[in-house]
Amino acid sequence: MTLHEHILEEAFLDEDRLRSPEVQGHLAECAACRERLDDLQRLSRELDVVATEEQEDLGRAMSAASEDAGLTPGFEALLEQHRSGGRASGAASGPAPTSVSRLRPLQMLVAAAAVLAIVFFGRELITTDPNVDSGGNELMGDERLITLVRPVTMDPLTLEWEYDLPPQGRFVLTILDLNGAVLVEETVQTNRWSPSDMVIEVELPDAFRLRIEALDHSGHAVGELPEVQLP
Amino acid sequence: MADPRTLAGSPNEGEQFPLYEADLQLIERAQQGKAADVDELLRRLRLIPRILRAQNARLGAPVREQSLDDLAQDVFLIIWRKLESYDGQRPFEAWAYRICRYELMNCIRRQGRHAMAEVHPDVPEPEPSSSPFYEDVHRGIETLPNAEAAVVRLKHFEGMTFDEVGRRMNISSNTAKTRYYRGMSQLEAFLRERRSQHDGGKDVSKPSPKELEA
Repeated sequence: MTLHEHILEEAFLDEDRLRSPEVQGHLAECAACRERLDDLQRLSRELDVVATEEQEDLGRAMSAASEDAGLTPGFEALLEQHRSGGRASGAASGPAPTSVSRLRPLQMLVAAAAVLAIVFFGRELITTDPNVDSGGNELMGDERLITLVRPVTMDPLTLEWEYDLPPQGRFVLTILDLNGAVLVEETVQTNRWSPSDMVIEVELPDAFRLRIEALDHSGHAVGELPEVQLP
Repeated sequence: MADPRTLAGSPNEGEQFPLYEADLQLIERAQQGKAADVDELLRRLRLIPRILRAQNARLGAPVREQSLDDLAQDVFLIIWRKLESYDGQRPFEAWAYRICRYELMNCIRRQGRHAMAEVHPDVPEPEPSSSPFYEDVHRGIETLPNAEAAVVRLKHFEGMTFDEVGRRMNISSNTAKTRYYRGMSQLEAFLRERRSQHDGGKDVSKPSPKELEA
């Protein structure tokens, strides 16, 4: 460690040392150390702002939770479904299957009816009638394949895919780096996606892996683009 | 990757310090499907809509109540899918807070500022916010070696003194100080680079000669 670095560390960590004639004398003479000390002190203040903001918001959220037990019916239904799923699963792979989004009471009834209908009739129709309209997508069990439109425009990145999303369904688009770390995970309701400013800030690598899942209105997977590497 | 349950206090820099072991264990048990733990986890996840409301209010309520309710459900699903990536480095709620923040900002960007102003012209004055800085800070801390990241988090996000940090991590307060200084130096360099990128190459962390004259 250089003398500069040593004095800078002391000045930053110890206010008494900062006020000492030795450190003050060094700072008066060394513009680089002065500047670095300013940077570090500013960062320290900025971190405090970020932390305070986070703590205040969490405090408000917790306070709201203690005052008001009522959440939206959709969110309550989502919790309840995961509670049931969690108890039933007992598996090491995850507490419960991905579930309901934007669930409303009426939708729950419709969803329940649809599930029953699929259970009783759907599989038979799919397996016995090869002419059933699959939206132009290949059948894969109960799920249909999502087809990526190629060539993919990389600059600026624009992803398009073919899939007929069911009413109130949505896509979950996941971009992973080549090591499998998730960089972006977004829900969209169109067959097209471009990165937002915030995603661009994530700095998408030149090569990445893409996965798209189609969910129906009740959060069940109905289509999939198996992971592909781009470009 | 190192086992996140490595004993705290190890001097090896690559190792993780599971500062919130109880939260980590809760999630692991919930992932095994233990009913009481799933219930507890879901109880804690009830905070999601409230966190989003608090964040939205801080930003001047750019997202309407109905959209916020929908977003809460989306965020719940995202967090549920990401549970495996929780590493016990922060309290579970703080970890969830960051995801809420990220998704809220994405939602706002999707809405578009122009459209937002049209449909919601009477937005209240936002509270002071570190919005542009928030995500960079957390990304920067993630780039630090685990030992340094842990000290920086405990110091600023938990408000601990160096003595307390030392006790928590089973290291001396002097070691805590050294790691803190090292971590802050690296974080500062990371953020300076980020600011420079945001500003199209101009290094905004340093005053220009003109600013110095002023």
